[in-house]
Amino acid sequence: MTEQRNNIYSDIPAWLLEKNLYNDMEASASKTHFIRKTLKHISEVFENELFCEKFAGKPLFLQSIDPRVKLLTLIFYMVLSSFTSNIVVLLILAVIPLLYAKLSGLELKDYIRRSWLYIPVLVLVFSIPGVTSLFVKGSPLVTVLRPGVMGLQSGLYFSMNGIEVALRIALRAGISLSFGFLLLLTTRWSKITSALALMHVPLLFISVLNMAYRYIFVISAMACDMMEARYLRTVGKLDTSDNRRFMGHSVAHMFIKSHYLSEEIYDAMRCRGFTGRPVSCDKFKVKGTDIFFIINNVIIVLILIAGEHLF
Amino acid sequence: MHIPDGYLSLQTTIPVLAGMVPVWAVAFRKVKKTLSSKRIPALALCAAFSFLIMMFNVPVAGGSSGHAVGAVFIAILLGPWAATISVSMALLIQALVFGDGGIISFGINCLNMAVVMPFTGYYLYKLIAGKSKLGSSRNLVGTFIGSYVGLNIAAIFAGFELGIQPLLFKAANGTPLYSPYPLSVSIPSMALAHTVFAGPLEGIVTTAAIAYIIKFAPQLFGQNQPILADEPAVLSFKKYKAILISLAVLVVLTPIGLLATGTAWGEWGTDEIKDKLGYIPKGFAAMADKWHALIPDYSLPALGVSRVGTTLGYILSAVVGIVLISGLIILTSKLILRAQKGNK
Repeated sequence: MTEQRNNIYSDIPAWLLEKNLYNDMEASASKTHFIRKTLKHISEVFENELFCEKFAGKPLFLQSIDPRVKLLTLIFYMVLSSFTSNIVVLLILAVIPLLYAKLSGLELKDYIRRSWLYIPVLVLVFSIPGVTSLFVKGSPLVTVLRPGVMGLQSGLYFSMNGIEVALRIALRAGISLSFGFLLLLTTRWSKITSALALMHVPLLFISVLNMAYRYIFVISAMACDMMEARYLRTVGKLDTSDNRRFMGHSVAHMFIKSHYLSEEIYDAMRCRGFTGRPVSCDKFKVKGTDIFFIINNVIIVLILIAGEHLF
Repeated sequence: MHIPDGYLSLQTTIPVLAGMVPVWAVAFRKVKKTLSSKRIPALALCAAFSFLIMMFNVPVAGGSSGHAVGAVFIAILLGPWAATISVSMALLIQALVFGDGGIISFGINCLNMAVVMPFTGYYLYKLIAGKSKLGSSRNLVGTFIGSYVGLNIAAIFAGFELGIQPLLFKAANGTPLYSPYPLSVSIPSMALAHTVFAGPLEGIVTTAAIAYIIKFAPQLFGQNQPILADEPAVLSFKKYKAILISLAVLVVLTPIGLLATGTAWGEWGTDEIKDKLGYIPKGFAAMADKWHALIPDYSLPALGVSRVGTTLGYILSAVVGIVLISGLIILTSKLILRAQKGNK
């Protein structure tokens, strides 16, 4: 059996049987990994957009709320999370977006991964050295170094206060992200910006923002092509300095390309009657359901404030 | 350098955000003069471009990689005001769409990366490069130093903003409410990371990019000289009135939090209010009495006052809160969806 297999393999050149040296697992060891990393980052831009689009169009709970009402409500929750320092209230604030997400048909697993498993974890890890007894005093809860060890007179320990500080920062970061993603995943980008326009943000600002958002995809595709072409033509290892030069030149080349693109876009807009003054055609009307939504959220906020006073 | 929400107090973020509004207004007016009516597509592409720069991975040292900000690059080509707008837009899209940098700390991130960085970098570049020829070594050295120092000053700003948090915002027992690192830690650590790693990277990428443009598209330089504007300027206060007023209200409200050094905002008991105001507002006293009546002594007496008892009390109250709020949210959802169907 083994012999037979060896026979089959003997027809295939040895280099084809070798394990691919440049697979993703070994990306950090390879000298071309940064091109691949850049490609990955750029493709994430597209992935993200497709992902958001999938949910924002569904006729479900949050999707059917007026974008202005939704924007203000969600931002209010973020502000509230910054104001409060009560862990219980923060925990409840962390649960609210999950509920809203579930009821709006979002995939909870993915939603939690996006909002809680990256930045809040990083934030927590970075704040750990800051919440030891070096910076936050209190009665010791977990002792790391006994007093006197390594020249520390009172030793190194974590107090309840310290742990609360770290939790508070991580919770706030996660809550803010959850509400931010909730807004994005249940509202199309164009609706978010027209809500901003109706809230008296200058139209010039809005139209630049809208165009920038759309052209991110155009120039991302351009950059993607450029990186792919380079990646496919790269054999073996590249010098770090060559890499840096290539990236610097790519940045410059993208600038030149996008500059000419902007002139062409301007000419195209002018041909279609653009006078230099943007106009908005969006109109929203606050419905009964929106008022109901507001009232309910006011009640929730009142419950939270009451909770804050009780504990 | 993208500061997420949670590290900074509202008393820092909101005033800075409010302060950024006039900066943006001025930036738009300045850019209007230099880019004339082409400004909308030009600015949009610039913002998209500066978003993309932050996606490009550049090797730093020993296999690690980072990304450049590119604010000084845009400032050298289109002027610092255009850099302010395009980097701000890129940061807004990053915060909203990718969760990179907080939404409430958006103003702070803009101050560091869209104002401090392009302006210091640009003027340093001007100072060093002087009237030297484009592409001359003096010009390129100016580009490098400008972008290197610009990024570092921005990082020191971020370190300062983080470092003042434990000084200003503490609970009654001295526990910091926001970022715990004092200035003596936050500034050196931010400065070290950026002088050694991110700074040289920013410098090299910016210089290589500028050198490339000088070689292949030198006509792009010098476009930031003023051209006559093609539409009358609208008084900026009128345009930004609504936002300015609402932000002003917020700014006026935030010092209330600063006063509350003893307890976190909104957690004052009647005694503390008396201390601060010299008297107890009548309505507040009545409210407080009602709360006392509802749950005496602010705890659940059945569970006792031991540590386990209070912990259980916390958990129980959290559960009750969550159930109550969940019920409300589910009810709202049901009713709204029903109304939605009814409309169709």
